[in-house]
Amino acid sequence: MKVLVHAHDAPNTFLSKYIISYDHKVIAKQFLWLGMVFLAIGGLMAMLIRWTLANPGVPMPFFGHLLFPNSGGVVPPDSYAMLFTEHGTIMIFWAITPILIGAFGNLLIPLQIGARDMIFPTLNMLSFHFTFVSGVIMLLALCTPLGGAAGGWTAYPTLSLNLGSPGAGQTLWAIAIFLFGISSTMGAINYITTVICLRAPGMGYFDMPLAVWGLLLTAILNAIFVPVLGAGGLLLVFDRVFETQYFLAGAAATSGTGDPILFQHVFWIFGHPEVYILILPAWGIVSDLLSFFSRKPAFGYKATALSMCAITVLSTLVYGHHMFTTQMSPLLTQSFMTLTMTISIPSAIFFANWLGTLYKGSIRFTSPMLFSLGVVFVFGLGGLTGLYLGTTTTDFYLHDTYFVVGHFHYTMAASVFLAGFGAIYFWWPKMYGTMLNERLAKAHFWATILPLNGVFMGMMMMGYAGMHRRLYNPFIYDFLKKLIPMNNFVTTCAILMGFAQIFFITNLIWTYFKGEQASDNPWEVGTLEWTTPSPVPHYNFKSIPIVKCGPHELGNPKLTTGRDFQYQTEELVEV
Amino acid sequence: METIDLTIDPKKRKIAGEVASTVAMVSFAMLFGTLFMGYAVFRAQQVVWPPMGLSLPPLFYPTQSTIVIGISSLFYEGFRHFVERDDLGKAKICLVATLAFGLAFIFCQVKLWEVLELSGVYHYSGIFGSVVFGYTWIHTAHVVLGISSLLYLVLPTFFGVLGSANLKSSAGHIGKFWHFLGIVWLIVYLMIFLF
Amino acid sequence: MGFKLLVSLLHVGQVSAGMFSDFITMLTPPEDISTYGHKIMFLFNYITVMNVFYFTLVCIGLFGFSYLYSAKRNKTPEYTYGNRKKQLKVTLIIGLAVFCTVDSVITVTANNDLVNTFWKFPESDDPETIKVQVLAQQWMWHFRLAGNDKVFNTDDDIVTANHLHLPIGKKIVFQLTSKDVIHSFFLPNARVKIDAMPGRISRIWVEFTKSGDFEIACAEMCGTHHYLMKAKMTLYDPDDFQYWESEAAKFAYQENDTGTVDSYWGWKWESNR
Repeated sequence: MKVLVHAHDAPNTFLSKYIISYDHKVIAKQFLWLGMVFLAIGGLMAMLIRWTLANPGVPMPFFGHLLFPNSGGVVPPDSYAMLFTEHGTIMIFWAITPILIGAFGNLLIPLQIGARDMIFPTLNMLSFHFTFVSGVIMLLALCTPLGGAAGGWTAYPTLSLNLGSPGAGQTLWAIAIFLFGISSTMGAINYITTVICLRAPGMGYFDMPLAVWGLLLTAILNAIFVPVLGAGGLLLVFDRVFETQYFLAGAAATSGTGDPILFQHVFWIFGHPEVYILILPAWGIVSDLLSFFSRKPAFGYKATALSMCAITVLSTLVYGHHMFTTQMSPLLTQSFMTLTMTISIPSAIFFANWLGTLYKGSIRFTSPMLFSLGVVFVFGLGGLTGLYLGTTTTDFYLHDTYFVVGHFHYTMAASVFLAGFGAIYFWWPKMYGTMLNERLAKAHFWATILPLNGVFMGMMMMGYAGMHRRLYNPFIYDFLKKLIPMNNFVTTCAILMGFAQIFFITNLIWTYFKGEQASDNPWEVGTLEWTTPSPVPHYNFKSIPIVKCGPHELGNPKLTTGRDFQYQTEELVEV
Repeated sequence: METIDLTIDPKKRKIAGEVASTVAMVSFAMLFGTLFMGYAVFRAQQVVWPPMGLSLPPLFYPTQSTIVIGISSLFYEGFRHFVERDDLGKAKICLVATLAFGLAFIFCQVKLWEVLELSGVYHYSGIFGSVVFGYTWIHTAHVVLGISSLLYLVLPTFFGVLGSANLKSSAGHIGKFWHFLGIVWLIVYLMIFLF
Repeated sequence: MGFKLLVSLLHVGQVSAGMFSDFITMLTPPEDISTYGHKIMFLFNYITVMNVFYFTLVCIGLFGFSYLYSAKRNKTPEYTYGNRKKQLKVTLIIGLAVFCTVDSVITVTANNDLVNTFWKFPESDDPETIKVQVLAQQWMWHFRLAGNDKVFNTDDDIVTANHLHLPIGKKIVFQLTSKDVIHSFFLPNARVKIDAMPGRISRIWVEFTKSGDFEIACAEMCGTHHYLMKAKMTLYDPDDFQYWESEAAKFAYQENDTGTVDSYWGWKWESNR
């Protein structure tokens, strides 16, 4: 007896396409657009933040009077706090996660492992709905009388309790995070089960593209650690709504006090794996793209996959390096520092393998490849600067300065978004059946990566000079006054980077009207999704493919098919 | 139009169910695990527990809750046993009993909260009250979730809507969750009320 | 003609060198006036050297290979997964290199610094140390010196707000707490910071080497006016400090409000753990 699974009609009507969509490709598109909308919102918030930092007290041109009429166009200090809080939260939870994990997780997992759909399409749909609702709640929080959350994206109590931030904004923030956590967990259950159970016949774990590896490990981390944040968020909501006292201490606590530092522990037990939750899919995608466009197999495929696993495991053990200045017990401090340092070893192997893939390749500088190379550069910088922050003593100086801001923007923002854009350019033909304009894409890359380094390198330099984070007006401090020109430079770069995204938007519009029809396999790559027509039809494959070789079979000199690559469905040609 | 084979090996389907429900259990366990870690931290920080001269609440309702949720778990096992043997008549009785004891558990919790407030422990008065109330709230919320998923079994058991194979696998997955809630309560009982 | 060109070139060189030195000055951390700040800076510089080395390797690979093996120059890629033995060798070499040059050095150095310096508090009954209690609140700093009797929470305590007076050449031990939210006590000139948390006491010690006026910052987001939470720190030579202390103690008796309980926010000095 056979069991029918994921039977659902092709999404043809408005309702089935945009609201009740079971099809993984449609859900992927929904996630993509949701992510891009939030990316735009978060990006504009970043512009406001940068404007304020470079010109404190100067009205913002164009938008200023529209957004802040009461203060004559100047961003007021409380709005500034809301801006950086919402910028961080939105970018991490509603921009990166939907684009990298939501969109490409949904698109790539079934397609690259040869499945017709996710194993639980309904759960998949619900996962999107929860993300959507939580995002809307997050934005609505900004419209409450006292404004949105303003305690930083880390929401440390007691600042995030009623004591520090009264009003519904912070409560809605915590509720939104909780709902988002539910959505992430549902997605993770779906991804893990799909990868374990729906791999096409013949596809072992080491025949999966590295993108799927990255997404699988991300899903595992999600399933384990998002509930930890959920518990923390729940207790935070209780503290705010029911006035319990889990995180309340000090003068405001009546007696038998709670512990604000507990929240930091809970937050970072989740928060450090979260960094890897965001970066692992990007690593996977980049590893694949580097191999595809070097036209040779990924160097040390297994070592790369295993390094990813090692980093996944290590990432769960190092969270304490976010809390060196809270004076944990010496033993904890020392062990967290030592464990943090060990992450550098699998990371180094990673980089060696990336460069090994490029070595003696025949590199095609297409736009996805440019973005991938950009990720290698940017993540190199981001990863190496992490050493300063994992070291306890240098962290005493650099903690909560712009050095940290620059560092995590390099790792979490720059690398992830560059990989995300690369993935969009690469898989657009499979999603929409049209090719994005290559020339505009390359312009987008160069116009983005140059100011990007200006922004984040500039931030790290300012942090080294002592400028700490989340200051409305840093120049209150005499020792920071000399940094005004640097702040101007960073803001200019940030605005340039913002304008560079016009290339991307233009590209989307141009492609919508004039984009050329994509062939089935425009990039000449052999993974399973490229055996299907572009755009991918409903149910993906006519018949479930049978996998006979690995994902990176490129450049084999013995190939007689006239192609320089072979599909995963073809028998491996031995050299 | 060509037809597409949309079927999947039932064995695979079964494994998928097992994997998914296990992952879900891990997630729930992490949620409650975090709460218990928090409890350990709170407790370790106080010189005397419970702080502020409070005393542990009377054990009557917590113990009763433990017994009630234990019995409901036993009935659930009976339900699964009979479902496996396709003895739906007895399964129905067991399911109803499970539901009844589940509701009785919630009733016990409400009573427990009343007793606590009578003895001067409030959720907003210090960490002890916060822990006792908050943790039982969260647990009870999950019990409500569990009862809703038990209700999901009512139609297939009483009217056979989903077919026997589906009922068996659903019974297995929901059983995991139901027993899990029992175990969580047992930990709450041991850690917060008994010691 | 040639001479003029040379002069103008020199001029350009001078201007850009000037700009460069301005740039460097701008990005120099505030002056180090502590006895241990150089240890942090040493480690920072060591990591920087290592980072530059490894990042140069990455860049050589990234840009070099991109140049050498572009599809134009290298038509046929080498078909290899990486020989397993070679792979293992590469892995081992890289792993060992990173471990020996970066991980172990940093961990050991930082650990030694922690144990021998940063966590090595002077004995709590050492008369030579100055004890300071710090209470952070939204958005100001309160400082409490024990005064003549060396006991906190008595009438001769010298309590100041947003202005800290300390001597150089003596070890100063701070105990910090917060009234409301978490703050972070940041001494840019000593390269250290420590969180001030409600409900618990954190500790830090420092010894200054240079007198003058410096700034104390709050480095942890603590609400809307976080950016205004700065305090002044005046450092005196030991003799000057004694003079200041005796003058301030006179005022202390007059100014300490014995009527309000709130003005006794200090606590019994906690011994080192």
